[in-house]
Amino acid sequence: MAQEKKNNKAQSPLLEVKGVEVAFFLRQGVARAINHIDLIINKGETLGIVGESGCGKSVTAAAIMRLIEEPGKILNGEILLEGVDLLKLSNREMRHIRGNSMAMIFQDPMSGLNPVLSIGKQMCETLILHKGMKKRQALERAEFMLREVGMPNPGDQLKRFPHELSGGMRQRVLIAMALSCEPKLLIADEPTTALDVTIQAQILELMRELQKKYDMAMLMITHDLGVIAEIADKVAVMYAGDVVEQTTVADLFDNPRHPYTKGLMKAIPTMEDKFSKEDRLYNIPGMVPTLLELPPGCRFQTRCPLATKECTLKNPDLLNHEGHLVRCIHA
Amino acid sequence: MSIILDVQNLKTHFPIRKGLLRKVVNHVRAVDGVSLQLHEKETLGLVGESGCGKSTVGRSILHLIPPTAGTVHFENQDLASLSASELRKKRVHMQMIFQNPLSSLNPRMTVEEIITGAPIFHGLVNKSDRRKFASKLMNTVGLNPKQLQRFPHEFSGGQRQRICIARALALSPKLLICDESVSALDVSIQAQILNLFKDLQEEFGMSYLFISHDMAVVRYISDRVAVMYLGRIVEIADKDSLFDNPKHPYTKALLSSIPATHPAHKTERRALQGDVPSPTTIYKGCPFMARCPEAKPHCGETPPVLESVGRDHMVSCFETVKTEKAAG
Ligand SMILES: Nc1ncnc2c1ncn2[C@@H]1O[C@H](COP(=O)(O)OP(=O)(O)OP(=O)(O)O)[C@@H](O)[C@H]1O
Ligand SMILES: Nc1ncnc2c1ncn2[C@@H]1O[C@H](COP(=O)(O)OP(=O)(O)OP(=O)(O)O)[C@@H](O)[C@H]1O
Ligand SMILES: [Mg+2]
Ligand SMILES: [Mg+2]
Repeated sequence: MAQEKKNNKAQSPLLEVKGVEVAFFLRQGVARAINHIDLIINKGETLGIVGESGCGKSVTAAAIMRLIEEPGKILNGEILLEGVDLLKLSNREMRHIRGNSMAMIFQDPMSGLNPVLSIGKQMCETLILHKGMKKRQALERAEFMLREVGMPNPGDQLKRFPHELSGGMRQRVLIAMALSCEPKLLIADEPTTALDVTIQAQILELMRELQKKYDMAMLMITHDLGVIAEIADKVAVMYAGDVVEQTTVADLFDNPRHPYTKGLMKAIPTMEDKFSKEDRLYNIPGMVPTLLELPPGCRFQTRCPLATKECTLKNPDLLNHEGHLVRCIHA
Repeated sequence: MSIILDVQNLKTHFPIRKGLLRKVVNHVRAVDGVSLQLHEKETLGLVGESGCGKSTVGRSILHLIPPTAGTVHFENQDLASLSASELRKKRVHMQMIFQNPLSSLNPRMTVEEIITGAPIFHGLVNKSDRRKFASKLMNTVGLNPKQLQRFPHEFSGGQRQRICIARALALSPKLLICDESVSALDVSIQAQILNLFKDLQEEFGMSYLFISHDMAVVRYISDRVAVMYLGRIVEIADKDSLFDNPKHPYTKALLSSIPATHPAHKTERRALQGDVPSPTTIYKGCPFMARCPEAKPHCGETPPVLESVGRDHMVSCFETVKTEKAAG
């Protein structure tokens, strides 16, 4: 049975990102924010994306939602949702997909909320627009969703405005909004960074539950490897616009192979460490290259402890080591 | 070491208005009697559930929101006694890095203008040195100085957060309130910034009030840690004693829900049960009572106060204090 289900899953990717490239055409030059990204998410599965700040995680999410704005452009590739290439749809068709099949929780909680509308109005708007609900029904659903994400007095919260809520509460509103339309794919960009550990535990639990209930797939962007450990099935590690490593969660934690991933693992402070005032954390030496001046060859070579002359010649391919993908000639 | 910040019985209540006349019908008691002291060269961590009032404490300390009651002394000066212009001058020495990087950055200013605006205004930097000064700060926070002419929306979330950090550091403040300041950063850059905070402290004796949801980060950076619940501090202690030997039932619950650091351990995590209570209620007794696994009927009669239960360890809980005292 389980075997059968697995096979089934393997045959039906919900989302396939193939060779997608995004660049921003700036006065100073062309910033290649993501460089040939390949990702597969199966039905009901969670793919985590981690990586250095500025490596292109949010841009990848925006590309999938087709929300890249001028001066940015999607240059190449295909984004297939259940076999349909989103890059070929009209704007109208895409708007329909965005509210119904896919929903996104944005990184900056304020940017996803309209400051002059009450929480209730905003939540109802999406439900009326995308689910064709009547106002009363939409209000009930909105209140139900706010309770689902752990907001105190959901009825009262509907009347409040975004600036009256704490950072974590705003994030919960956004999660409630995204889940209210029961999307097949939920893209969540740092959904729990603004939340405290207790609410974070509740929200992750809730997301897992709803995922099961609605057979929803998730793309979970986070820099928090703890969140990845909690919720993801597979992980992609990104660096400077490239996926540098991709495998199952357990494998990544037990057997990281790319030198960048190894560096990340080493930099995490843990609760078991007793730090004195003099102690300093490990951090990967050097700086992420800016997109306008990427080094030749492997993009990580300027900071890599294993780098050799060979690394400067060509950006290595993402090689498959028995299902564990790594972009490094020394791995 | 001398006390740089002394907060006594701070309260900040937000009015809730209703109806056409916007009549005040109730109050959100966001901060409801917080007292704390911060020494020179010291870091106090501030943790607690979302909505418990941490950001409001930070903003009220700087008088960015006028407190409803209580006093804040910075370098022995009562901030309430200062005029608006004196307060503005004082704020050079007390800076806050806000929780929401994008909305606290002016979208029409370049990064260079954002970073150098205040130091030039206060005469700390010459206009002609502007570029050099800003470049140095960009390097300090791990951003490339070549991006100084760009606008905030052209940066990623973590890059914006570092612009905010650079802006605060530009004034060389004596007190820095960090509100979730490393939460959007990947672990390697987070490590770099946390190390930077510690280095600055060692070199210049800066003090930090460090608000964060990440307990491991709080443990790394802090000397002491305060735990907040519904606008009040329920436990405050030396960091090792707080994390290794938490005493308040709320602190215990909070620490048990720390995320796993490995997928194999994920089942061990336990979420705190019960709804987050409403901050509009006035509690006769202990506000945590409804969710407390150790609550006794008498906990609802009078409000508990912070009491000492050991060296540099204070708790506001009747039952804990009783058992601790019995144990000697
Ligand atoms: N509108 C834009 N114009 C120019 N460059 C941009 C724009 N949006 C993003 N970028 C650049 O693209 C790169 C990738 O940005 P992205 O927001 O995807 O990073 P991220 O991986 O989400 O980082 P973080 O973890 O900090 O949120 C960054 O270097 C950023 O500066
Ligand atoms: N301007 C305001 N008007 C009304 N209520 C407010 C306002 N600002 C904050 N509040 C309320 O005060 C309480 C405390 O908010 P605060 O932002 O200080 O919480 P926090 O501890 O920083 O939470 P988080 O961890 O989510 O950032 C919340 O209930 C919030 O809704
Ligand atoms: Mg991002
Ligand atoms: Mg806050």
